Amino acid sequence: MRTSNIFVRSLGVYVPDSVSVEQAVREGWYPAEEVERFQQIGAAVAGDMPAPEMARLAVLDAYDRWGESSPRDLDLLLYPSVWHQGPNGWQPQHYLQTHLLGGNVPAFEIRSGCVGMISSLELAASYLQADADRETAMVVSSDNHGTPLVDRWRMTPGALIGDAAAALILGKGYGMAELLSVNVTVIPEADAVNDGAYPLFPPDATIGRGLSFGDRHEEFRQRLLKAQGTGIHLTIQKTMMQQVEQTLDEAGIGLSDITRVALPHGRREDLDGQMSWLGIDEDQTTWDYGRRVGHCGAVDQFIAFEHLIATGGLVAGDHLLMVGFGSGTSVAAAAFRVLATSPVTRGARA
Amino acid sequence: MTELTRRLVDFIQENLVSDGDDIKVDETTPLLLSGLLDSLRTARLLNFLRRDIGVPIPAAKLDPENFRDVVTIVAMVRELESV
Repeated sequence: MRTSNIFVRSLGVYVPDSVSVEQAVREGWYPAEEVERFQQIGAAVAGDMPAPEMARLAVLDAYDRWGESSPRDLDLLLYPSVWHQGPNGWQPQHYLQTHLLGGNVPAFEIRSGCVGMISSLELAASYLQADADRETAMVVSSDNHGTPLVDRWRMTPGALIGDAAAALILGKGYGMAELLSVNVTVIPEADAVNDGAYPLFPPDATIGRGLSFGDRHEEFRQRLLKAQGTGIHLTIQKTMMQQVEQTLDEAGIGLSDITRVALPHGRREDLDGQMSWLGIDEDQTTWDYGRRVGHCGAVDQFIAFEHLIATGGLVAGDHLLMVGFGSGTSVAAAAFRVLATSPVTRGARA
Repeated sequence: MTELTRRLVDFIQENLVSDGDDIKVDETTPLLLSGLLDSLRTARLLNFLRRDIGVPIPAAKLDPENFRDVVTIVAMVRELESV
């Protein structure tokens, strides 16, 4: 979707300190022989801080940086999430309404896997564009994976799972970056990538069944080999390339105009594949940041965005391309043009 | 076997067959049914085609029927070269 007159007002994050791979090796959590191969450095670990509280801190961080408005002035809040957020029957977005927004700001949780934050940009932009009186929308996502049923050090062999929150305020007319285009699609024939061939009922969490992506991906691969072969991998990559092409085309730019590509944080071999597919070099990626915090649910591309802005990796005039993959299997891309390295206000702009 | 076919067979044998896998690649070895081409290995193959063979593969050509075996890859490359 080519977005029009939609800007990033501010970007806030909550990224806890990382636990190093060296420590994980010493503790016996991560195999020493995999350190060199996968080239991971650490994972952000939130301890016992609830994910919605991390989200609250990220929202406050975004507003502290901007300083022009308050969460109570929002027209919409979307809360994409990946992992469990709190008590059964309870809603994390209502926690933010209780503590920040009040009850009159519409707020919804979005379940769209690891593309949830990018896909929510499309929803939020559409919501703002639908009514001239709507000014700002918040997309916030947060996950703390440090729970029973998962092992952040071995969930995907070689990769690290981190905890983090990111909050992005979209608005009309002005901002620190312009959202040029965003697209999300799903490959239905790859729906089963993460299901592990387990029954849909009763759901995993209700019976205490754990989640290992490594085991589930291998099970899916074996299922493919017994049936039609691994052509679905080609379809996934083809879809990703088409999403990127469409997003860049709508944004009116080419890949050569992109300063940085923010990808899901993963292993060195994942990066090598992604660079090959896109034809980009390591210094155009967010690899060096991502391997220090791990794969943090739906927020990888957004905490990397904030990191790049804060460290000079993106300056005014630069373009950022986000590319995401999610279970389902979903593929998303978004293009931004950076206008300033800190939030701007209506008054300063005038 | 043409020069292109031989180079592709050699590349797949040396770079895409995992250590310990007892697979002798030829031009009709099924690449998808055997699981030889997953996401990462396909990326390596596309890199080889782009950098060493000089033929970048556009997204529109990333269909399973074009990557069934070396014969279909060669046919796709020839078609792209002729355009």
